[in-house]
Amino acid sequence: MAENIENLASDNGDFLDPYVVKKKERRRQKAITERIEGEFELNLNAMIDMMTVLVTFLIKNFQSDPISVEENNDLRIVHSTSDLAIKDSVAISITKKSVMLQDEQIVPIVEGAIDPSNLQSAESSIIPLLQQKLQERLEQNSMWAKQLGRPDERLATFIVDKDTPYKILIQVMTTASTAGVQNVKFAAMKRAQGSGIRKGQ
Amino acid sequence: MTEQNQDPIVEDNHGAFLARRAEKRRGRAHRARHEGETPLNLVAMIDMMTTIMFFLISSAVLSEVGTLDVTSAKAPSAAAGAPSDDNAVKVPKVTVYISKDGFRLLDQTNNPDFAAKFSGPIERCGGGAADAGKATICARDGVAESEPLVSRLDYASLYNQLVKIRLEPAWFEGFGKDGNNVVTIGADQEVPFEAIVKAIDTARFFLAPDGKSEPGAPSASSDVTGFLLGDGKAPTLEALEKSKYALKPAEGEKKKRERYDLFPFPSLVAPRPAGG
Repeated sequence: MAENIENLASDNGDFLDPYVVKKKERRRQKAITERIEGEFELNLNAMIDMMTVLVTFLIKNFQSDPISVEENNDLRIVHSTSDLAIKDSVAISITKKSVMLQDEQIVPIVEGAIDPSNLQSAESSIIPLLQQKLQERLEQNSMWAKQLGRPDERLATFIVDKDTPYKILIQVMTTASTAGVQNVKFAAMKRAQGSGIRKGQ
Repeated sequence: MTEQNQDPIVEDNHGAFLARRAEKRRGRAHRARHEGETPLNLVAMIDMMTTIMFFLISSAVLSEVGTLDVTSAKAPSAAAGAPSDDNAVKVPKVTVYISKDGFRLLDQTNNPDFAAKFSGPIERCGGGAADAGKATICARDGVAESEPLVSRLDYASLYNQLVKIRLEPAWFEGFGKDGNNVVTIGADQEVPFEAIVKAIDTARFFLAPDGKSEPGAPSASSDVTGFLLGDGKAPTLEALEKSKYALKPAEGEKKKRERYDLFPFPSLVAPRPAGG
């Protein structure tokens, strides 16, 4: 076969690289053998191409927000057309079952209300335990901001379940305001204005 | 398969097949070494990529979380609380109060013109003078009381009414000054949070009603109907949800077009005491 290869020339008379010719011949032989013996090799090129594109796309989109919002049965986030980004701040969550500061449960919510025993007085909107913990957290944040030379924004992000009654929201907001929170943001899933009616409306 | 393995002839054939395959592989590797051709082993790379892909897919956030700025009535921000000039025309401090029978539009400065024009029930809700017992914008027609409150409230009419207030020539300039275009949102104790956020969203920017051309910049002499949903007669929720924001002309090629402010600074107030 070697002699044959050395003397090979293409139809139009050009000399062909013996290495290429040898490779082609080997592939042809291999294909014949595989056909006869019923053995075949899996071509993974397309799959690797696809995986590379997918991994690149996912890595590009991989980002971590300063506050993580995880929905569950007790916490369904509202949708809003606001396009403001989430900022690093103190996270106060109001779920169907409790009021939480960061990941710590502060007071329970029973039958859509905060038990009056957890309030300063029956008529008051202030939740003393939340106020105390929030003050501690804000002082800690102020200290860090001072050390890092950043402005002390005293910002709180409220992650509120969509069915939360307005009364609870105001109780928590009033407590936050009393504890020293100066700026309030509500977390919401972004949606575009003009995208039509959503399910449930 | 078990039966096949028990058959000595099949087993023998299978053994021969495996031996042939191993021999072929050896031959290929030998040839590759001698001819300077190195086969690339991609197994490890595929394993790694599969693992990375599963990790990234499991931690991918498909819906993006944003935030909505609000001001608590107890902690007014600079934008919401700028003191107004004594000589300037006093603009109404618009309040949208949400209760289970609909929206009430109020003015904290008790401007009689505001009360006469905008606080009374709209035409669909019976019309007439302002009455504390009647909602300015009653619940949507044909929606059962068993439906969630957010589905029953007529946000399209709320938008139209806010546009009329904002474009009222007597106050238009005053609203344009920093800190005056604040809307105060109040609600009954049991009103769900979703209804509040939807009211805030409705009040923030001017819309270009669906099916119409861009209405242009709002001004005291603007044709109000150009901004109203359903030509101001029968606004629907569909029209509200399908309409995009009215946008300012592009200033540069790459600059994002800005929106026209309606009442972009929401402020929340405490609810009325139960039974009050």
